[in-house]
Amino acid sequence: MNARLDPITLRKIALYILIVLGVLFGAVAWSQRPEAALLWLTGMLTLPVAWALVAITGALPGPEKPDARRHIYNSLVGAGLLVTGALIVTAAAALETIPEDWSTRFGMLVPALVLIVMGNVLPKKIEPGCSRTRGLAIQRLLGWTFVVTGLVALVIGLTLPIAYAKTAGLLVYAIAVLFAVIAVVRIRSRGVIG
Amino acid sequence: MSSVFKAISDPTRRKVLQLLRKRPMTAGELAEHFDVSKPTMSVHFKVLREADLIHAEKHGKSITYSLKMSVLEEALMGFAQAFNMEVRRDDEDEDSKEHNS
Repeated sequence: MNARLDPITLRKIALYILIVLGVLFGAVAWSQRPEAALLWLTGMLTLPVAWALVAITGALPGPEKPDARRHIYNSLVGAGLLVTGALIVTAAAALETIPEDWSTRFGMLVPALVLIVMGNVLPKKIEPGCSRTRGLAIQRLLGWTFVVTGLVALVIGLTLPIAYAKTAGLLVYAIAVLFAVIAVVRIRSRGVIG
Repeated sequence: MSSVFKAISDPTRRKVLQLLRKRPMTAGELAEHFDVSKPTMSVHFKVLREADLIHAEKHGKSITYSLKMSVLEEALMGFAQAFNMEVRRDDEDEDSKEHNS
């Protein structure tokens, strides 16, 4: 019992648990409201398909590259969390254990969370072959823009009444896109940020 | 994550990261901004590299460092800067001993 699980095994176990939970709640959601569950159940099917493709094509790095392996497992667990979370919310809304609008809210929270996670790691990516100074400036700008936009969208999705939340969320994304485009153009024309 | 906390808890290392925000710099260019010995600077670079906060690239005889911080790590550094967080002296001594041995 004192044997410690390595991080890869833990991620594998988490993925299996998520798939089982996804199928379980997916079945509940399907029995109550098939049209709402269909989309997310299709999403759930992509997990084993993605896993099979990774295994068949040999895309999964060997044990000599633990970081790369961990990244692939992290992506799969992240996707599993999103899809299983959606199926749990759909099932709970269908069973009337949570308010109906939470199903819509979850759809707003997912892109916000994805934006935060993606934005957070964006400045860490080393892109070979491009100007590091300008590249880093653009990566940092986009990273911060993604994270701040995601956080604002997350708060809006969690707190505002659903009728306002949809409009406010779209407005935030539109402002973020506009800001990012203007800032990237300025960096490209000037070269470096301070 | 503990290596990140250790790296950003030192004012010199935070200054290095702040300088690298502007542009990638060589070890020599960075060292010019500090009144410390080369071995001490090497220890700081090593700690930052191990925490995956900087990227080192060798060009001939010189090493060019560039920033490699996530948004969360930058935010943590901002907090550390705001609260003037400092590393424990014994941790620093350990680093220097390791490097010298």
